[in-house]
Amino acid sequence: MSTENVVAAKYAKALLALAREEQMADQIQQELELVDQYFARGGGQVLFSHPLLSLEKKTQLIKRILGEQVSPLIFSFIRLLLEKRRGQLLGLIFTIYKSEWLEQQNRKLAKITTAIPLSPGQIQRLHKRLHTIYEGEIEVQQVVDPLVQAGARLEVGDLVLDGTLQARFERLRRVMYPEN
Amino acid sequence: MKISPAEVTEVIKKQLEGFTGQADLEEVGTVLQIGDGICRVWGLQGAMSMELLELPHNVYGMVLNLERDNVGCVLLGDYAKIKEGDPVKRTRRIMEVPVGRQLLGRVVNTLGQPVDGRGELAAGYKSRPVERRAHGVVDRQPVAEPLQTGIKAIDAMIPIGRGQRELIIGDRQTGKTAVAVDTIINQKSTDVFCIYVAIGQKQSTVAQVVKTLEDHGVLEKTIVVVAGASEPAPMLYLAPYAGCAMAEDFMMQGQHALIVYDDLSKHAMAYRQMSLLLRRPPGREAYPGDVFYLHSRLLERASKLNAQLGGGSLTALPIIETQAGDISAYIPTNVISITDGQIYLESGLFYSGQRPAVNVGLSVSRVGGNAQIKAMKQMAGRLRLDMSQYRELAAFAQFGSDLDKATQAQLARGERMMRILRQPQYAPMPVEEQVVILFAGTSGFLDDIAVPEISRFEREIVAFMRQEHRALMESILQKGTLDADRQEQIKEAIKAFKQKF
Repeated sequence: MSTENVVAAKYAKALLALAREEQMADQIQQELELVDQYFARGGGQVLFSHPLLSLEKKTQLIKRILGEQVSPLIFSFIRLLLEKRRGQLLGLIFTIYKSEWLEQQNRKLAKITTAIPLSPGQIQRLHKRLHTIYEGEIEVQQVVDPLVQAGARLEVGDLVLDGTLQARFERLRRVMYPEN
Repeated sequence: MKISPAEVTEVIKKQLEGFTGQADLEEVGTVLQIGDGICRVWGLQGAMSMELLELPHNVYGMVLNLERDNVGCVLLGDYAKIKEGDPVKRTRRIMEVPVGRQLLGRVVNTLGQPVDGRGELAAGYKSRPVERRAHGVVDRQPVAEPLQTGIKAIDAMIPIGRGQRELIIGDRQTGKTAVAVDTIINQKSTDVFCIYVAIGQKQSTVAQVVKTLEDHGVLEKTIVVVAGASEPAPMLYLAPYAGCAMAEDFMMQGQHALIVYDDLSKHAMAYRQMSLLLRRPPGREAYPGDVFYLHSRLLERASKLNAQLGGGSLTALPIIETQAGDISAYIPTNVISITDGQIYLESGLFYSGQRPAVNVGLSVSRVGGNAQIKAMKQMAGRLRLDMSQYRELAAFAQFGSDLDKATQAQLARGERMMRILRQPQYAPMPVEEQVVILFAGTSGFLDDIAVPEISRFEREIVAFMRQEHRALMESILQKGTLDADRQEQIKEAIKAFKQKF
């Protein structure tokens, strides 16, 4: 196992333990997702490891970007990461945090992506079907993304069932233009 | 020009063959970390070792490390556009390459795609997985058929059999590739197909080899697999396995194939690079622990199949480059212990003009003796004896000039035999001609000819025998033995020739 994984797992587990003590593990997860969107993916990574910015400056900038959207726990966590020069691990920590949290609760997250919102009845039917396949609690999260055009994409853990028009077009493109 | 709509429809229909609009259940992970051609993927719990993964921008990866919650893979192709968070799909396939006769005469890369600018491969080729378990004991039979290299020093003293693995080892610039290329050229009129795998070499060097093969008319029965020095390490790592899969296809059809791995030192280095980047623990000389298995599983695939399986064979000639003649370094000792013998080339011999620079003392062939025609075996026994006596005396004779007659005769004989074993590049010699010239040497017919004249004598007697005694030459090749009667005939012929010389 690589060193990064070991280190990131330690941070993630510590954060999760703290969050559970304060009864806000779910909230922290959502906030982490936000932080992840801002920083880990995309260009925000540069801010974390930039050699010319002081620690104070970085913390100020992050505070200004996130503002009131996250709890103080997240701020102090990010500050700790920056102090220990582990900023680049944020994405990995988030990933591990999420999977640990779901695992601890014996809960699975099912993400359904469609172009238009599904009706509550449809979601309930999906929930019922998933229950027959998976053990434990299943949480259906709905995402509306007009880019998928039509159809639906269901993601549970690593498994993806992609029946969207977007994916079909992509497969068609691959058949017709395999080289690019 | 008029284009009919029907034609257009036909083309589109063809392209759409195999396309299904059905949604498949896929396993998707995300890129955690990427760099130096290595990628860590979160998820993919079900991924297999060596499985191909599909990344965006038409890049493929191959799984090498399976860890608790992530997999480490190497990337094949241009990974510059891939970034963290990208989706990675499982393909549930092990890497495959195209195989078959369509590849003959072509220069292809590790993935089997042509790189010689002569268009796509002809249609109808099959595919084979690059990695497969070698044949077991029951599937094999002993190596007993010769694979003639056309090089006197090798065919006489270090014979190679079909299905054997013979290492070619030596420093840089000692003619290792030349020995391999000569062997390929000598297969021109045999039923052996050749595969030349260039690993980590300069493109110019490979182009030179391809040109040589083309000039000698053997390219049409050769496949050249190139993983050049500018290609990423995973391509270098996979090249020999890809070449081996192509060669195995001939073997499985009951035919004979010869594969040259040029060279496995660079292959080991590419694997070391990948392993270190994947953070596998380094061992001796920073090579990973499984570097022995890397080469043993490759070379073990060379074999002579039994009659039930068609009796095909795959002969492997791996090449190893040593540093300053050090054959006790890690990789050379590994490969020496895996192969069935080695041809040791020395720079000292090379620069003193003894080319091919084969050190006959250190070179051995552990199975080749059975794979020699009888006539050659008869000659080789005496030659080996003469040579070993010469080596012993040559060192001793440097100290004094007062030598008795017998010793002087021995030295003179040895000197002439050494001269006989010289051979120009790209000039392989048929085995029956080798037998005649070795017979002349070991029977003492050359003892009264000045050493500088030996090469001319050799050239002319071969031409003479070819012209005047064609039937005798053919009978040597067909019967394979030199009985007393035939020996007498050769003696007479040589005597007759010497009178004119």
